[in-house]
Order: sequence, then structure tokens, then C-alpha cells
Amino acid sequence: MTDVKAIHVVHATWCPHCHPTTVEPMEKVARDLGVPFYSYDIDVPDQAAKADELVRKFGDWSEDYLIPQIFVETKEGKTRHVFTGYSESVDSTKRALSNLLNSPLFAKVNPHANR
Amino acid sequence: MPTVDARIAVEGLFAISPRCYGHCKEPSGFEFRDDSMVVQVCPDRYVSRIVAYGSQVDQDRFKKVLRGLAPGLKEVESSDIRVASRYAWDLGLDRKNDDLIVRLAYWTQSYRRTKDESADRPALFLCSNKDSFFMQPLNSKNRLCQKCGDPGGTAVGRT
Repeated sequence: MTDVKAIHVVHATWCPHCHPTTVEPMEKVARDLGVPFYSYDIDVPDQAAKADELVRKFGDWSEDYLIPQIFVETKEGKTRHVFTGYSESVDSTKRALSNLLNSPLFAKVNPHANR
Repeated sequence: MPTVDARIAVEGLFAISPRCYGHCKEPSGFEFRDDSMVVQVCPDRYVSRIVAYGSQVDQDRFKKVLRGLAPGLKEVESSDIRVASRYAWDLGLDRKNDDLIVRLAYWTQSYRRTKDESADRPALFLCSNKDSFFMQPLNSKNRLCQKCGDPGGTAVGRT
């Protein structure tokens, strides 16, 4: 994937897969990359509308969709879904997010990532 | 039919023992039913989750499958099913392309609050012989369905 232009995360404040498992680490990644970070709380009406739009267009859409979901906007102008939380356990979500952050996609912020 | 990658990924994903959800909080396990479905059950055989998997998953088809598992599941709706994509990067697989490896569709029993919060409300269990799902009161300790637990067929009300 080409370089990251912005990171978007759909979440809820009560969701343990989101906080502190996903949102905070992704916010730090965005800060380290020097790119904008956008979060959308599904319980805040204005943000929920944008969240629904992102998930419906690019993500894992179902009527009561899973959170968190992460989207990466690239310098090519594309938006790509890159992650959905693991319903089976918070530990699974945590492990998968670690894999994501060690992948070539985020290699810039982690020099030990696989290339 | 899932790809070899999908099957391997799913076997890795569900080689865990999360706590039972909605019943007892004991460690539970995932049991493969066939090439497209895995079931999370606790030691008492309560079903926490059923997960369909494949290169794609058809939510409508999964809903029909769920509705057919036991009489008490006829009210499963699309909103009870949630999907997830798993890619090489979050699975930790070494791939040149960050391909989609497998898609999952989750149904979680007791995810939504029901009107009936009683301890003996009907709930879905998986028979210890692994052949059949059955409904019984949530607080029941039967690990076998009526058919397997009573092979002689003397049970009252057997269908």
C-alpha cells in the first residue's frame, strides 16, 4: 500500500476492543506518522453518520456492525478498510492490532516491521 | 468452500479459550462443525457464538442456517449477524500482497438484551455428541440433547 495520508477509526467509548486497545494506539501511530487522525463515535449522532458511511462504503458493513474498524486514506486518494475488531476476545483484537502495526503498512513508525 | 489459507487462518484464530459469554464465564473452546462453521461452547455445552467463514460469507444464507438449527432461533434477524474481514496483515501472515484471507460472520447468543432475563429462559446448547443443537433452559445442566440422552426413547414429550 502507498503512504498513509490519514487514519480513521470507528469506535464507541464503552467498547473494550476500542479503548484502550485500538483507538489510543492508532492515535499515536498517526501522531508518529504526522498524519491526521479522525475518530467517529457511533453513539454521537453526527459522528455516527460519518461512521456508517465509512463502514458501508469501505468496511465490514452489517446492520449492527462490529467495532472498532480502521480505515487508511492514502496519498493516492483511496480509502481502504484495514482492520475490524475480533469479536471472540479483546486479547485477539490486541494481538491482531499488534500484527497490523508490525506490518509493512505501518513500517515507517516501526523500524522493526517486516518489509 | 474456504481456501487452504482461510482454513489455516481460522484454525489459528480460534485456537483460543475465551470465557463463555452469556452463561457461566468458564473457559470455552471452538469446535469446527464443517468446512464453513465454528461454534464456541463452554464445558456445559452452552453456545456463546457461531461463526461462519469463507472467502466470502453470505449473511442471508447464514441467517437461514441459524434459523434452521433449533426452533428457538427462528427469530434470528440480519441485525444479529456481524461480519469481519481478516487480512494477511492483521493475521500476522507473511504475504507479498496484503490480501483478504478470510471473511467471518458472527452470531452471538445473548448479545442483545432479551425481554426475558430469567435464569431459566430458553437457550441454545450443542449436544456433547456434536451432532445436534438443542434448546433447553439456560440454567439446565444437560450436556446431551434429548435424543442422545435418552436413546431408548422413553422421555416424555420427545419429538
